[in-house]
Amino acid sequence: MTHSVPELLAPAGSLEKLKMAINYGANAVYLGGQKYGLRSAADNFTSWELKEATSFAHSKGALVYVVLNSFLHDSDFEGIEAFLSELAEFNVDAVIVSDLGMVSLISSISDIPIHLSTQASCISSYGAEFWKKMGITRVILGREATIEEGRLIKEKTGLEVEMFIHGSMCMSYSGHCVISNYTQGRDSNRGGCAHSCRFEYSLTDEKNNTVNSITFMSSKDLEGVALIPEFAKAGIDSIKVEGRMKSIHYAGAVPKVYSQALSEYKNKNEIDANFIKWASEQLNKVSHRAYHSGNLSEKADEKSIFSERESEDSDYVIVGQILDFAKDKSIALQVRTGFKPGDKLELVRFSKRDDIEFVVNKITNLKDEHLEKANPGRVVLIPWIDGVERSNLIRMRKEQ
Amino acid sequence: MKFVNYFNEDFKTSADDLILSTYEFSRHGQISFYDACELISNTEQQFIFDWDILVSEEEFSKFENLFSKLDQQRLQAIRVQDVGVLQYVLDKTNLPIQLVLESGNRNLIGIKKWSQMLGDRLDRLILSPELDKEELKQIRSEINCPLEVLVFGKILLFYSPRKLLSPQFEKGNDEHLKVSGKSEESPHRGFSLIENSHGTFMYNPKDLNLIPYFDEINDIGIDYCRIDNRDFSKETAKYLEKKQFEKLISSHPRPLIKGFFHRNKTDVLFKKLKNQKLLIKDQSYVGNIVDVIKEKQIAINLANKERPLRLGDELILLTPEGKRKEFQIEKLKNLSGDFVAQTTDEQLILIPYPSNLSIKTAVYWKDSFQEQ
Repeated sequence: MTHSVPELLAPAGSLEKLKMAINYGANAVYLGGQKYGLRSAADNFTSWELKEATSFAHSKGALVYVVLNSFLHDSDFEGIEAFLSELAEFNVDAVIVSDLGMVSLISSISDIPIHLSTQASCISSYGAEFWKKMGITRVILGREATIEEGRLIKEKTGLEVEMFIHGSMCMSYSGHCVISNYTQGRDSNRGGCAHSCRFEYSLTDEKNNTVNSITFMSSKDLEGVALIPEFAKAGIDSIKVEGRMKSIHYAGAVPKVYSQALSEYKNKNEIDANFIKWASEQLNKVSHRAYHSGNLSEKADEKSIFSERESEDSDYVIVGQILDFAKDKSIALQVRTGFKPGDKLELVRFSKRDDIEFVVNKITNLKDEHLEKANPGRVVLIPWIDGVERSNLIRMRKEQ
Repeated sequence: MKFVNYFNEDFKTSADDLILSTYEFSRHGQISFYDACELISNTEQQFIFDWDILVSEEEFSKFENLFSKLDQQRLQAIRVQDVGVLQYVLDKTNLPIQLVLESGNRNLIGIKKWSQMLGDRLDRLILSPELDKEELKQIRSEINCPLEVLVFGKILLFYSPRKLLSPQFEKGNDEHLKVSGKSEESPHRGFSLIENSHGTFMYNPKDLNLIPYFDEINDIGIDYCRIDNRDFSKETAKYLEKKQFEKLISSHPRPLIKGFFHRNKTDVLFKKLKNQKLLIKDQSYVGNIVDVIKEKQIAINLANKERPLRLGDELILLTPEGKRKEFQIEKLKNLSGDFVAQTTDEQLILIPYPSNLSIKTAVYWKDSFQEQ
């Protein structure tokens, strides 16, 4: 007997990352066009890429949601009708919106289902009920909500409920932070967040006690693999991974862990300690801040604050991505981190839990000339490995 | 143009409207809920009851119970920001509603929808300080309901439900914690922070001052100007009572700014966040050059699965610096070393080195390339 599980929704900051996320197990992806979203610095998608993305996702049975979740000023609406027509033409599966103006506009000219963005900070069934009346079909709850609250909201409103399960967290209610607007001149709610909450500050209280060099408002990263049974039992429809700005390693490796976890629960009705150990090891291979369960089980307390300045924390580095291969002969690898013959590498497989470890014994360039090492930014050939597929990631433990 | 202040039991005020902000229902409360109930019962003054905190599913019933103890008949209106609270007030009360759109809706189409949706229940809209005067004019010209803006006072930078300050300091019996913050990585200092039962709030080092623009605000047709007097000293409060605005400004202890009133340009930097030259990706896009072996060959990572690359195809190459070159394909080689007439299933295709080119150069079919 199998058990119903939520959809796994992953970020797609670019077409390359979209394919990565879906190949590694995401059931749905969310992405932004060149305007209207909250990640102005991400590559985002041109119209042609959106078409390609939707076509690729649908061919793999995955859904595509497009974010239109900026807090738009009137001038930002320019071109929106044409963009919505394109989304309909490409058969995009839903749009993610935070603003009643955008909801109203979309409802009036399109049948695309509308999901309410976490940016709207909907954290109660009263709030969800309001948005339901406005035509929303799914509510992405504010990250302050617990799984139990998600269950109640779904039960009381009948709306689809989506909740974040992994990734960076805002310490503020989403949409209620304008630090960047006033300190950097960049509208955080139109895609310009400068991450001022990650900076170091000194604080002085009324008794003149001073604390220096603290990251008092930097949130730890959300991680909820062990809570997948709770999500499933609560009937949460979709679990979401944050991170359209994250690396290609993150784009593939994190969905893989959650996809495996959902399969594990679906087949066994539990996630045991061995699986959690494996998942934890895998998630530690990807760059992250210290992990925390956020508000998922109980409201986040002081332990949810990351007391370090931003720093890369991962056990592994991404070596590269496989672009192509000559079967049984060689593999073309686009190099992200340099490596040399004798290094032990790990091939991250798409659908198999266990990855393939191997020692690379030869590196050549694309003219088959011998190389002493593979340099970042180049494409190199390494000998054939059974089980390899195009777009697989290859990584290695740091400081070999 | 009328004035709105917050009720403070220590100060008199000449405001037209008074907001009653309580510790329990407001982000920055001034009196306890029970004192507020007593005040409402024992005075002729009518108040606007402030419920601007966000309320989670788990906590909602606690607030419903408390709110039911309030003599709602004696209130002028209720002021809400959370959409859940708005829905509750719509369902369970008959109170006139003042909807705070300070964090959120910044466009006319949305504001119209709020106005239409709330109908007769809508008493006032409180607009965002992110709106500039041209946007305010546009909104005024199309919205009939009374409009309010903040004209003087602290600018809230964030609202977090987490207790961010108490872990850093020993907290006394007083539930409120006030702290001053300084960025160690930017020139910004003098952030005012508050932690209370609702979480943590940080304010801009400089407070908003639109008092010099009263005439313009009046001409726009804004009905209510709010002066946030919650942190005023006795002296400043006296100037406010007498509407001695010049003295109020000069006695204000913190620096003042005009915010975004004249123009909001917080989106102009976005284009600089990305290399615009790399953004052309349409049906003419072949792929990117991912490897170059000087004088020998280049490798293109093919992005377009619908159109094969053929011998004789004329290409345009656009470098990351924006330089443009043209080139015709004379040879195509796959990874197995076979020469092919056109690409089929390949992801990577090798071409003889055409000229001085770098990795990340974008490749386009000339016949469908459109200048941008």
